[in-house]
Amino acid sequence: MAYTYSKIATYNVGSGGISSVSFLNIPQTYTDLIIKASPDSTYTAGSYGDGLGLSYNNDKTTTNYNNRYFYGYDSSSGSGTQNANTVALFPDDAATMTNNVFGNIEIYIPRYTSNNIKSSSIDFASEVNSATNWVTGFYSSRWNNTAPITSITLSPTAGFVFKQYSTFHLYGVKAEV
Amino acid sequence: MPRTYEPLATTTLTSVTQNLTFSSIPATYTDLVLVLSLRASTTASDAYFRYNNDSATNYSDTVLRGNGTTVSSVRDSNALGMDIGVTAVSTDISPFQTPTIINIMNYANTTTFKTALIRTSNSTAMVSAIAGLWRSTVAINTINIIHRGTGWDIGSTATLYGILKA
Repeated sequence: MAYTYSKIATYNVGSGGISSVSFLNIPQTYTDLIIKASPDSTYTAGSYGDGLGLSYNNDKTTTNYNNRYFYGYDSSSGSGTQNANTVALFPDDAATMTNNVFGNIEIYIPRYTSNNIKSSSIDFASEVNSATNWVTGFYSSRWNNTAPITSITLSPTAGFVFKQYSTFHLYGVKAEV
Repeated sequence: MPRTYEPLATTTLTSVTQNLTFSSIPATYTDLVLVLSLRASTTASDAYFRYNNDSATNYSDTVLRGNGTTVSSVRDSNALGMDIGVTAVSTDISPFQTPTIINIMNYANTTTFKTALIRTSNSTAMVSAIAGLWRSTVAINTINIIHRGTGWDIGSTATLYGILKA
């Protein structure tokens, strides 16, 4: 009997880093997808962390994505919206960041093979032992496209790379009884 | 190696339904996960969920939410059900549904009140993280996801998973 919650693919970033991670040819046999990521990047300008880019089927047109989110850090909190495919924040190489800290991100994508517009739920948390850096946030992301998702690309800010020891795992969940 | 994450039931609505129900839930798992993709059939997104058809004021919840401008927290005490957040409504872009994921811990025990964690992600209205409580020591055998308007729209889906500790 097949497992309901199965690992589809995993990517461990090696020496030198990598500019993006793609899961290609995603099987269309599951109901939902879950990504669990623990990234760090070489981006230096993000004192609150780097933004995780998430694109489906190689669609990198940011206006095709809508996000709504809220977050908390230090003693502050806030909420906002974006026409962007940035869906989470994670540690980077800004001077205020602590080295050797990786983020914690979970992305839940229900009904990824359906003909619906695709909505996802994202939770992230980073603790870097600093009074001024990001801690946690909750995102809702929408891809305004009804095509089944066959590939997913994750990326840091353009021109930078995910650092060695960053990890990315893609799981499939089956809903059939 | 045993399976530890199993689908118990799944449904896709073929007609507008006000009360989406999972019943006869076996008590053999440790925790439950309910994954919903919902769209209300009207402009009202007001909804909650209950257990075991208990319609008394035995529920409470605390909601942390962001609407795109501000973050706020609200709570409901002695409520008729636990808030599930703001779902997609009939005036939203179509076909658009909002994901809600509910984690229900230790649902079958007969000693403690039952706690749930709820996440609803609506990119057009509100993002919510909610803690819910049912003040009952009875094992959960039924879950009702209730739209307080005319109902959930055709195409809305719901899947209930059971998680085993081993």
